[in-house]
Amino acid sequence: MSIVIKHLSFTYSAHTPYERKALENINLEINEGDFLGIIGHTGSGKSTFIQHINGLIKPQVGEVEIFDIKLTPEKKPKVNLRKLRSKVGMVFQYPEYQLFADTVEKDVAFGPKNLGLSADEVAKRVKQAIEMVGLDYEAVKDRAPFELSGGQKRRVAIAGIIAMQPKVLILDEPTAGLDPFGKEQILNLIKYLKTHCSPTIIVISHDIDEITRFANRIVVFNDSHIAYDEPMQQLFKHSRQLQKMGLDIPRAVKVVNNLRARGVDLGEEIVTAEDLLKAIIKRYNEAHSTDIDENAGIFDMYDFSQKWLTSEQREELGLITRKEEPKDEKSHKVGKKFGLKNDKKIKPAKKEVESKSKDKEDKE
Amino acid sequence: MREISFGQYYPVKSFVHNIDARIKILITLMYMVSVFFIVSYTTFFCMFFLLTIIIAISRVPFRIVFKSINGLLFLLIFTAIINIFFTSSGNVLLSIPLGKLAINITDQGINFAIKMALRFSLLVLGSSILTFTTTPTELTDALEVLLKPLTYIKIPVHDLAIIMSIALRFIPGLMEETDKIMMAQKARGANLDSGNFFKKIKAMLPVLIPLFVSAFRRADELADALDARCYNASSKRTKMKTFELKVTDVISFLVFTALIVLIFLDKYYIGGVVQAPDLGGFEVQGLDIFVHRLIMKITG
Amino acid sequence: MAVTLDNVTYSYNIDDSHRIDAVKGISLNIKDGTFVALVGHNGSGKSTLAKLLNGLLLPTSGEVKIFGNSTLDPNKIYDIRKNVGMVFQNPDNQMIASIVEDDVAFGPENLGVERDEIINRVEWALSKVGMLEYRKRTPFKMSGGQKQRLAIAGVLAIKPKILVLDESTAMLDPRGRSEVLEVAHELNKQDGITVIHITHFMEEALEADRLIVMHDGRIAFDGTPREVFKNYEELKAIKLAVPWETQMAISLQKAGIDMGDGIVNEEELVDRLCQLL
Repeated sequence: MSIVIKHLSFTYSAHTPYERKALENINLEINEGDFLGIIGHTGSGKSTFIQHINGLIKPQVGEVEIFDIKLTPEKKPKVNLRKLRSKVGMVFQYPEYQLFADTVEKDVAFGPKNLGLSADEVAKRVKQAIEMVGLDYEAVKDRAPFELSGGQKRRVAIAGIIAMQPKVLILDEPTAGLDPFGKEQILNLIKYLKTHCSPTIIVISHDIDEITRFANRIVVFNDSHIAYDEPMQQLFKHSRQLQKMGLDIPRAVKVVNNLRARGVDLGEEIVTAEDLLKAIIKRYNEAHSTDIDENAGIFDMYDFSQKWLTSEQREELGLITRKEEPKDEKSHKVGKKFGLKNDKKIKPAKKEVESKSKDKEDKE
Repeated sequence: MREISFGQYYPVKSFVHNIDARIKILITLMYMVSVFFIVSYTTFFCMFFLLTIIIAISRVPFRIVFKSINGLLFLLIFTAIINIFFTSSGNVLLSIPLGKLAINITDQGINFAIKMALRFSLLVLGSSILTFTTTPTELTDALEVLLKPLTYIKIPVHDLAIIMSIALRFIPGLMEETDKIMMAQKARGANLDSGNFFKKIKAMLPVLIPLFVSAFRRADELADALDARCYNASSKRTKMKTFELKVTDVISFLVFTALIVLIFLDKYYIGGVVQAPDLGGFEVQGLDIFVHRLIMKITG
Repeated sequence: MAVTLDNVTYSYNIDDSHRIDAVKGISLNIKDGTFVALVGHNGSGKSTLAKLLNGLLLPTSGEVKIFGNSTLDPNKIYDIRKNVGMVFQNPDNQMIASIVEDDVAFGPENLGVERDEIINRVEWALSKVGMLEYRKRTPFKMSGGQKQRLAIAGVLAIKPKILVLDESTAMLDPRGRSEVLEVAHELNKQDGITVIHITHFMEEALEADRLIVMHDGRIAFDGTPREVFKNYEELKAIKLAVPWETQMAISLQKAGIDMGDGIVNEEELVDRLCQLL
């Protein structure tokens, strides 16, 4: 059990006209290995909740236990907090707005330095973290963070957190404001971090289709309470209630629900596009006595082969492709998404498109 | 999410909140000037009594109003002490030898010190009633109207008002942003509040730099938004809001004027200074003379 | 013609030796009353194009004309800005006043509109975006979608003929995005306002009359959304994606299920699946 929250309540500006209840009697256990998605409206209490997990807010009522550090409403010595923050990393919304140093390297080093690590260790971690987020260490380390594109800045900011090698990584709206391709890259990065950096990951997002891409458990906040806490495949049995709360349900679930209403029942537990593809193919095979491979459907909205960039441009952007090869069946699929296997040929685009792309993102 | 809301405005509905902001500003200004003319404890008492009533009507809890004095307590005590030490008239109560010199504490010194402290509290209380019951926007709008005559001597009152209103508009956002950045850097293990002054400044850099960057970015975007909405398009700008005085505004103004007249009567007409023999020749001023006499009569 | 671009190029210096062409010789006509979606990934030049439309940026070469007035003519700049209402990306950085109605009044006040008319316009603009009940409130605690609707009201009060949404949905959650889009479509249909909606979300272009895809400072595709979505492989190559439902149909098609052509939304997808299953 890595994190245990008991009877946690929190009120902002208590005893003033601005008083606002943010959390009321929250009980939750987060286990090691959880890939937890948190959804809920703005003001449902989810942001206040995660700030508790990092010790940024002291509990008013109840207690938060993180590994063996206990936070209670009583005063606590400071030593614990630093230790806590080395275990729980927090990536805030628009984290690139918190970059401050004059080089990428220095900025990423800020966290590990604060942990009091040796210079060698700091340098090692910085290099590791920058490479882990998919940037080329040599190409970007001496550049000013402000020169980078929006998506790159965000990755540098994330590197600043993972350089602290937290066991639990919390990300608040990690894809907000990015373009769809940038979003996709960050989502893939988060999946990658789960296996290579932080075994427990908590993500807050407004976009349910994003959450369902990786979460194995979803907690729904509504009106300062936890409304649901379910394994991902089970949550959308409550579709109607979720929609009543004004929350979105995944597109695949919408399609399944619509089909069901029209007499085609594909079954429960379909949440992602991949689930839906499989279910449709299976059903199609039954109906038409065909023999299409259930795994034949590939939902590839984005192309990660980055073929439109010359190697020179890629170098300039500091983009690297991770070199590890997929080992088993499972990671094979992930590898495909990363564009590691470029077996698919991309047709050249229209002539106008083909002209050399400078790709100075964010310079427009 | 901030713990305390921005500014001092206390959002309830009350008679005081409802008074026209221009009238409130005028009254507060007159009040602040006249506070310096209060001479007698009786008038002080009346003023405090009046303020108590106003605060009660305004429905701002006393606890919150007095907090505003709390913050200035140090300044209040400091001025009082200065007064005690630097007044030499009156009967010497205590003499502190300081080498060749001596500092005398006199009854007049204490008298002045107490009055100074009272004046100071009246000032703080009075002005905080204004800010508790008037939104920053109302204040800027009212100031723009009150300062309008200055346009005749080529002071760009409207531009100043826009600057002020934009500042007010962005302060809450920037405060929230500061909180966010501080939290984010704390999450990266930053220690923002220990060490000596210089260490603290250095520790704050990771907060200050992003904050400045963000402020400039906001300014940039806002400039575009102002342009897109035709700022400076026409020399004859119009205003949607007009100020119309309500009867209650006028009445409040008159009531206050009457009170202030009383203060001046107290000083200049009823006035005078009497040395009370029963108080060891202590100087009694203004209305206090009557009160003193009254007490003498009752106690025989 | 509401908007005419004639061989417009815009370039700027990034440092002493480097110049970047953000927009490269674009020619374009937009008819009065159309709803245009302008889509491209970051760095495609779409935002630069937006700022060229109301003279916030001036073309390095070529000419931008709004109802026949060139943005290069300094005497016409306020006429152009009156006609081109522009809403920006960050919902927090566009409001000038702390009270909703004061903010909406700001534009017409700048133009010297009579007081009674300002009040009418404020009411009209706020009711258009469905925010009339918030007129006395402060925007501080509002949602992103509400703030952007207010920003739209702020420019509507100037009575523009063209509304440019410059990535106004980028920072919003899915719900806020649909709120803003709904308002834009209503203004287009009911009031005949020409809307140029700049976005990087392809699915927001679904309801548009015309979809222009930009890449690398040029126009890559221009047509109805359905026409453009047919080029999904090419779109992918320029870091864009077709709507989710279209992708679903394509994936099924590739697996060997005949999905037919041109599925762009949920209704069509469900219809086709019902026929098949």
